[in-house]
Amino acid sequence: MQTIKLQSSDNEIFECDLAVAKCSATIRTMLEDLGIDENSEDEVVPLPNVNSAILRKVIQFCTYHKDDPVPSSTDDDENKEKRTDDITSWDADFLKVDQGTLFELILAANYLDIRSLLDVTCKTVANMIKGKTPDEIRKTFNIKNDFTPAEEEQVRKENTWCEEK
Amino acid sequence: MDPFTILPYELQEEICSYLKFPDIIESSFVCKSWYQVIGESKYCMNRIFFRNPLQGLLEQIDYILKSRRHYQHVILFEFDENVKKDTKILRNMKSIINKFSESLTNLSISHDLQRTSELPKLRELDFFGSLSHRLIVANGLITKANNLINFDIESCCLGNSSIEYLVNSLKDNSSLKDLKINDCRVMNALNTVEVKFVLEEFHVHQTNSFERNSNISNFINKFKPSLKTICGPLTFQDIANLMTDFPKLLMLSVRNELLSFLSPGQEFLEMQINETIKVLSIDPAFGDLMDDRFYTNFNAIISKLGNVQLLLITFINTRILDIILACRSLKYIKYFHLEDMSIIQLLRIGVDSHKIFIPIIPFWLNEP
Repeated sequence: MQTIKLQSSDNEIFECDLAVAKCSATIRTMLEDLGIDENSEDEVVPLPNVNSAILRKVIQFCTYHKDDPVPSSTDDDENKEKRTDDITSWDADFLKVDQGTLFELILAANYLDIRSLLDVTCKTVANMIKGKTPDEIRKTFNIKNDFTPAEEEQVRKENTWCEEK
Repeated sequence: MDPFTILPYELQEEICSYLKFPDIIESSFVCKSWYQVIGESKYCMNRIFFRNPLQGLLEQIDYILKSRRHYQHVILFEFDENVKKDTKILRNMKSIINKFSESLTNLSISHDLQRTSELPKLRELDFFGSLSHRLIVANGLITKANNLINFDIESCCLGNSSIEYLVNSLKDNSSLKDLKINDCRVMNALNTVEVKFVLEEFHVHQTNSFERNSNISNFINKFKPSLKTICGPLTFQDIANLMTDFPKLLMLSVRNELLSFLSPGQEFLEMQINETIKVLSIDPAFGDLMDDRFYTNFNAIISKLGNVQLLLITFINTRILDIILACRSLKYIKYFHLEDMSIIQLLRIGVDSHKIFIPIIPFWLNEP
């Protein structure tokens, strides 16, 4: 089984299956465009935007999903209402992490261009928002209400003039 | 710290794309940065209509002009003809359009907004109310709306002199798909040659509405010699014939005297409704119809409404409630000018309140 070495931002080296690493479009591009030799044991792919804790989680996710079929996106898909209730139980368990880690996973998924990880992390955050009042959302994300009374009145008024399209 | 602040715009937008309208509204109320993210999100703003307050626009205008949202869909509507002529109101309407002009893609207006400022990216333009002045406005607006796809002229008094505006306004819009011309009831309505010219010129046969007392009936007669009606107003039998001639017609707009007190209603009962009809518009002019003699075939007719998904009504009476119940595939009810008691009636017969779409909120519903 062919492996590849990935280096996190805090200089930890992770050796993982090439097929797992290639779940990341960014790594695939680096291997192809930068001429990194996949067969060389000395070659290390630097990932300066991902720390070791997050990279470990990303490798765990990709290892589990490496054989998943690549979803094809069409115009129809883009017009479809996006669901958030289709997260598998493995993914849900995998994402039982603190909020900081969840948001760092979103950033890592975006940087490494791993569509399936980006989708499931964003859905998870959306689920943390859905059906909640503003106050509940603030509590969930530990956000301070920084509206002045006048600004709050502004938003309240505006919202009364908004209708669903 | 708000974790959202560590995400770049495109990732915030990605998360927003999973939110539905109520969540979008609630989220915008969380804090300043969320208000900004939601207000600048193309996805979120595409899910929202902004509609001007129906009362107290002058008092509310400051709030509207302070908005930092990038509204894409704006409806500016005013019922009161006297208020419409108020120059302050008119000026404020223009200010609202100017305010959102950078993001605006769809605009529905009921005002004479001549010399309105630039409207880039406008995809759709609806006009309400009298058309004679609208066409002058349209000429200016449409010129700026290169990708206009829908031109909806409703409740208009389409004067002869307006035809050149209509033609001039629309002829360069190759993407125009739908044209609705309803309610041409005045003496100076389009003549048949003009209507024929308009419809032929723009090839807009996808969604046409036909109305009693409309000169469009004459046009229809020219196009469809098989129709029996000649020179008279469009009758419901004409519509029934049209449904035979256009078996794939998906929308039927029936206005005036359907189920109304002043007309016999018998014509409706004689209609041969296609079971393909998915949109039914009923706009009775007056009163309830309680005379049993009109109901001989009523159940047989409404039994054919099983595929109707969208019902447009302006009025509730017992017969319309029966029609609603007969529309087994009904997804939405759009209603105009209904009193709150009518809504209660809808709810009483088990209509899901989420299915009731309110395009124009009556004043009394706007009260706290």
